[in-house]
Amino acid sequence: MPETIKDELIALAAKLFREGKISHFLGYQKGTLKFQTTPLIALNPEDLQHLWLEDFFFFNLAFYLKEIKNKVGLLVKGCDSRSLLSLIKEGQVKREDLYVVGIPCPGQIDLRKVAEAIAGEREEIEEIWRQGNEVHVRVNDQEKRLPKALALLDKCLHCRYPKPLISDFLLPGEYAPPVPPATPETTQGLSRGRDELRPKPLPEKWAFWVDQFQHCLRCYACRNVCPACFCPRCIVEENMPQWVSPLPTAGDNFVFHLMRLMHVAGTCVSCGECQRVCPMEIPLMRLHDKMAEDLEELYNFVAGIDLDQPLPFRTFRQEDADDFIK
Amino acid sequence: MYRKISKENLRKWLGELKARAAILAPAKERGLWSYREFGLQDFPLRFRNSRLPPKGLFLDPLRALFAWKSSGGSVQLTPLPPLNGQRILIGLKPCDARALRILEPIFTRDYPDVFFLDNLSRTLRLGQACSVLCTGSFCLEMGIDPQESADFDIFFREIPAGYLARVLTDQGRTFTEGDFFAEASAGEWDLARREMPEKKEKPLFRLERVPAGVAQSFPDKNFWERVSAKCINCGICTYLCPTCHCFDLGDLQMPGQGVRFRCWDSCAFPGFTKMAGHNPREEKWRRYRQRVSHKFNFFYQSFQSIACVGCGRCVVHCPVNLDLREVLVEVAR
Amino acid sequence: MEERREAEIKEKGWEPKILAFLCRWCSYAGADLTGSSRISYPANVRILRVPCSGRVNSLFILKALRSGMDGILVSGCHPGDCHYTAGNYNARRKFAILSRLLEYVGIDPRRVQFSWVSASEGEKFAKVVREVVADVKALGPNEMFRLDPGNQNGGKPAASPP
Repeated sequence: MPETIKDELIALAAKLFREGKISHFLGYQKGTLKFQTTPLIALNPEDLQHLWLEDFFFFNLAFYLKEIKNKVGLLVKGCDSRSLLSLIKEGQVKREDLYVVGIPCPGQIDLRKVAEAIAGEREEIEEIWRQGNEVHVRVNDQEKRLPKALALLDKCLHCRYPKPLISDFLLPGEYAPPVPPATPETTQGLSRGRDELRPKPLPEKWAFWVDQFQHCLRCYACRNVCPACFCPRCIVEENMPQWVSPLPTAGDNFVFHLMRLMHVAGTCVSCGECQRVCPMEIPLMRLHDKMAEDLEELYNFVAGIDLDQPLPFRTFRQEDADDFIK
Repeated sequence: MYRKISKENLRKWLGELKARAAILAPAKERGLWSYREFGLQDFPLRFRNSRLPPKGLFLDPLRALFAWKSSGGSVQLTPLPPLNGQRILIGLKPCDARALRILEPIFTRDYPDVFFLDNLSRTLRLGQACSVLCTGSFCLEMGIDPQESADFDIFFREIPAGYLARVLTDQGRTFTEGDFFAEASAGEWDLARREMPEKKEKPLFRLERVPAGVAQSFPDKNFWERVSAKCINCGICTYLCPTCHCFDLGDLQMPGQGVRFRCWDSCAFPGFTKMAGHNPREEKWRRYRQRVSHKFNFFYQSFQSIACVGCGRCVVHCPVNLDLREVLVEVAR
Repeated sequence: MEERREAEIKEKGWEPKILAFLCRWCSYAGADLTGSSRISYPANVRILRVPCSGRVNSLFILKALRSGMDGILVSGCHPGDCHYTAGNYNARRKFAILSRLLEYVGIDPRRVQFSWVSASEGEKFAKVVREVVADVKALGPNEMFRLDPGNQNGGKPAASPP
């Protein structure tokens, strides 16, 4: 990040802190491992010296708003800003309590895809850098090149909102989809046809998901990192009565995940963090993408883009799909 | 006692053993490494360590304990037996093997936990010396030697011609009898030791300072608030940790009958210490302080070993990169 | 499987067990009319009265499946007739999404069905129940999701071999 921009940001934050407009500023700092950042929770302007925005700023910082209930300044990418709009719509956060700084994003690198492309392990990757439309990878002192489209997170391949939809300040840079061009037409099927599961018959789908949910440990990282999962006490933790067993059986894992999906419907903006953090590599985004597509197809609803658009289950039209009802 | 074996003979030896026991070896499935039934194919290259620690083979993530039936005011309990069947675990790493040693007293000291102990006794532990240091690991600081360990039945070091084996237990000795293994010397064993390319000049922290450092920082609320600020209260660090062992009990039940299970639990969960009307660890910083204090101070006081082997899984897989190493460096200053 | 159910199946052969969430103002009254009109309908249905079809949380449906129900019916007032004005409209949207989701994970949508039955539609309620029972009977018992306290593993343990 050019020092001038960082200095500008620090000066801005300092002013906000001084004027009592914010008590926290959320950003990114360099992680302790390669190819990652870590959330920076600054309580004063000096903390922001650690700001680092070179690359790998994949976190959707909006999830900290579940915990930090004061006035907050934060950095958001285009996709993250949708979470902010969602949370405002859900009454979880007030617009005036936020100071939103937008950052341009070149698309976030998917380390899993890079590891697969080099036919190796993530730990073996020595260096990753970008040049134009390519992502360069050094492994075993050899350099390999990947077209951007093969190295970025799935969600980046169909980015429709590269520019934050709300902001008080935009960092300079290019706000464009990382893999152009993305138009509503080209991003109709959010998964761009990568979900080979859809046309399969029911028993195959079932077998696929049972295999996936068998491995869920119920670490709840997906739930905890999700800005849309803001219940102070999740129903899984309720045991009088016990609605969802905490035991990690395949059946109860199914209940947990499908229930969570339905509970975040309309607030989930498909940021993909749930999938990124899952230690058991469960492809949760397939479920979230499917649901988001259904909401758009049936109710012309896209989460987190329009403050005036009511949440999908709080409104209705006479003409809503009725054919599945006897 | 030292032995050596060629790659070819190792495969033959395991092929014979397959008749007597289930062989579990590292395999990559669904994008991550875990211990699976070994199909006698080539040994997996590039295996550093499994995603989930092998503790899951001993302290099961889900284990049925007993079944119950109730009718007309009386309850019938049927204990459910632990699993049986010999197992041979290959490709186990020194850190994880040490972790099993650390776990053992927990399941024997106050009462014998038959589920854990039976799993231990029916499993032959074959270890593999590491050739690289895992990302995020600090096993060296924790006093673990990736190339030498007495925590196995047999410990293997790879050499160009095959493997050298250090036989450590009587069970190990019986398994290495026969023609597949040849005699080897301590000298050959020492020569096969590899240097870790990533080994640092200076350790990150001095282990001997950690327990006291943790004890001293206990009252420092600001410190714990600062280091735990970004934690999201999930269970990844605890579930992926080879020494974490907290568990919960729960029933799957229908009216009149049910089965009681044991499953993993995490002290990082907000509800972990929630009781009727009170939660002593309501705030996140208290839970993080407890986690570090338990592993590096209280457990040490109770069992004379630190409940951490520096495998690095928590460092690599924490969703927000809350790096335990940084905390230990500060605490041990 | 629960002992009583097991005994039941052994004695009478398997019959689907359907849980019907009926809204208190329309569908429940409609079902009542079915009875008082002496119209027969299959006894497979267990009725659970809710104030409104919109009260039905997706979790109820998932928990019902997990508890061993072979099929689920949710029935409410016709659009425009909801006692709470819009509850059934919201339900309609929720269930459209839930149906598609269940189908995407491999659960046959014929296991979880929806209907609009008004307080005067005694005949229709019987017809709906007969259809749902026939559909679920053709699909067979809910083996996939069902919690089985007799099964010591309650479904395979997560992520660890033997």
